[in-house]
Amino acid sequence: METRGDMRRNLTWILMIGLILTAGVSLAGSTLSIRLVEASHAGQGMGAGLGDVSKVLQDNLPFKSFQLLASRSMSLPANGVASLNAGFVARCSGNQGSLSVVIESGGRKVLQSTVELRDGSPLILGGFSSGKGKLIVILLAK
Amino acid sequence: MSKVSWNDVQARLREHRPSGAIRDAGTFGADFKARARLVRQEAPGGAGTPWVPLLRWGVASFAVVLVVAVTVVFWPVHSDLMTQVKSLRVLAPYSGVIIMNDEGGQGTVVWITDMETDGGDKG
Repeated sequence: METRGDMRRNLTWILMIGLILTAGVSLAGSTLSIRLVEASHAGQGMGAGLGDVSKVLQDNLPFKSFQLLASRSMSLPANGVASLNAGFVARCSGNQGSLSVVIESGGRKVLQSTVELRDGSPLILGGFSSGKGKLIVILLAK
Repeated sequence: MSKVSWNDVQARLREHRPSGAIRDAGTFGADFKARARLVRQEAPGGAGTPWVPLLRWGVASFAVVLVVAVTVVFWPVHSDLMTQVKSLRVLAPYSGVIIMNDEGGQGTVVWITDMETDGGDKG
């Protein structure tokens, strides 16, 4: 027969597991990943390191090939500069709810935006001219 | 508390001694078993197996966690749960801006058409 003490002990375990899960969830989204991708019609397929954003890229952009050129990361709240490939630089500051992003190309600011990033929901900033096609900057909080 | 002398104890035991003949061990055992069958007995080891309630609680807890996980994973994604663009300023020559919220892929796409990054303004 299950005693009241057993029930209390089991409830304590369940609460502890719940607390651990809650802590895990609340810690999520502490890293900002910044990737530079080249999209083109030359070749076909999704390059390595883009598996988590492949669906949103393929479903929304009319390109056959997506290749990762550079990948950087910084902790959130952000306050740093990520030097990407092809002379592109991403300056990020602020927290996840109000993140300021400045994209520079060749030392010149080309885009300035403030975004609210959700965990696992990527922001695709695209249309930067490139020799083969277009360049895309992907921001993702994890 | 009053003390009772041993002599008194013996006397009282004699008074309460059963009047009938003392039964033999076999009869006593058979009577005992017959009486025992009248009362529902706990299964051997039933009360002393702590893993049964633990297992029950474990299964129940796992079911709760599973339900929560399935709810979170398959909950419909709304645009307010997705990345939002609060402000946007293009500092290079361009012809247009398209902002799309892809609920299927759970992402937000900002596409700037005909942008000339080589000839951007100084911000």
